[in-house]
Amino acid sequence: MQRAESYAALAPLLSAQLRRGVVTNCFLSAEDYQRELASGLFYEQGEGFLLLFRQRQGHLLLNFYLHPDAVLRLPALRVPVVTELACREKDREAMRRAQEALQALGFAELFRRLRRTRAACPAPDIAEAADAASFEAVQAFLLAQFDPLTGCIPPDEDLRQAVDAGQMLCLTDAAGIAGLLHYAPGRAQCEIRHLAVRADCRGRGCAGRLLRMLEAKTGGQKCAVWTRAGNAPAEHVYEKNRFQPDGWSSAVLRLG
Amino acid sequence: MRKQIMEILTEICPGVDFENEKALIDDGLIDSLDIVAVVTELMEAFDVELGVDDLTPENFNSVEAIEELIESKQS
Repeated sequence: MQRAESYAALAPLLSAQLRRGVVTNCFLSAEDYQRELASGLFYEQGEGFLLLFRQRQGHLLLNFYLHPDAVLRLPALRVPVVTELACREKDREAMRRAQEALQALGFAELFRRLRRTRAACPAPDIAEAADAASFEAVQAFLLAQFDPLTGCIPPDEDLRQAVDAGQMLCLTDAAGIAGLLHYAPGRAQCEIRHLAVRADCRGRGCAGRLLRMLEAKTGGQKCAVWTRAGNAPAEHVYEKNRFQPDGWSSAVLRLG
Repeated sequence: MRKQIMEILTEICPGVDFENEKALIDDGLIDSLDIVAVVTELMEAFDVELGVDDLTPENFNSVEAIEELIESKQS
């Protein structure tokens, strides 16, 4: 496994994957690659495959390109690896084969996720504004509420930028952050990355308040969110706030 | 060229309104698997070389954008 030193060096490897029948879960932009290079981006290439490993705190995220004739193998890995295979119904068979190839190397499925989308809507006229919270408080809250491996917690620099950009909508009380909604803005739609309410504050409508704050902040822009399949409380909140399954689903796998 | 691009897109992603959609990538109507297939077909159909640098939403959000991309590669 080699460390990618620059995007210029990586680009030809990536371009070589654009071939008929290749299955991939990689849809990173050049900007994404630049950010990942700074955090630590490693690759392994072999007969019919390219694997990209993105460094996270204590683990790696895997993206893959698998050609139809791939003879897949993994490099020596000292930390756990997590990957997510997301697709729509029409691509499920291709992704199932990719999942089988990874499971043959020791990956195990942890859970499945479903994507829900809310259509664009009129921005609500609400007076309530999000409370301010520091980078440290936001980071501590995320680490307390989400699994460090599968919770998609951003690297420190990305998290700091999200806090500075006002993409962490918080509700606070005397004990600190009571609820948090982290979103990523987009041109056509925004995406909710994290939404959590502290255990002692649940059942009081905090999630709904945060979702309305998001609607106000984004002008009612179309919005997507991934939820773990079978998470009934989350499904209830999103259904109630007009988020409907949009046909995308995924499997989250772990090795180590 | 436009007709040929439409045929490629429709074969890979049936059911999408390619005539009118202007945010194929941004709205998730074309995903990572589709884009590899679309790029492969475009390279073969128009004898152009496309690389990872070309895979931007701006280049693939609409049929017009794809057409412009191919024309720029041919010129």
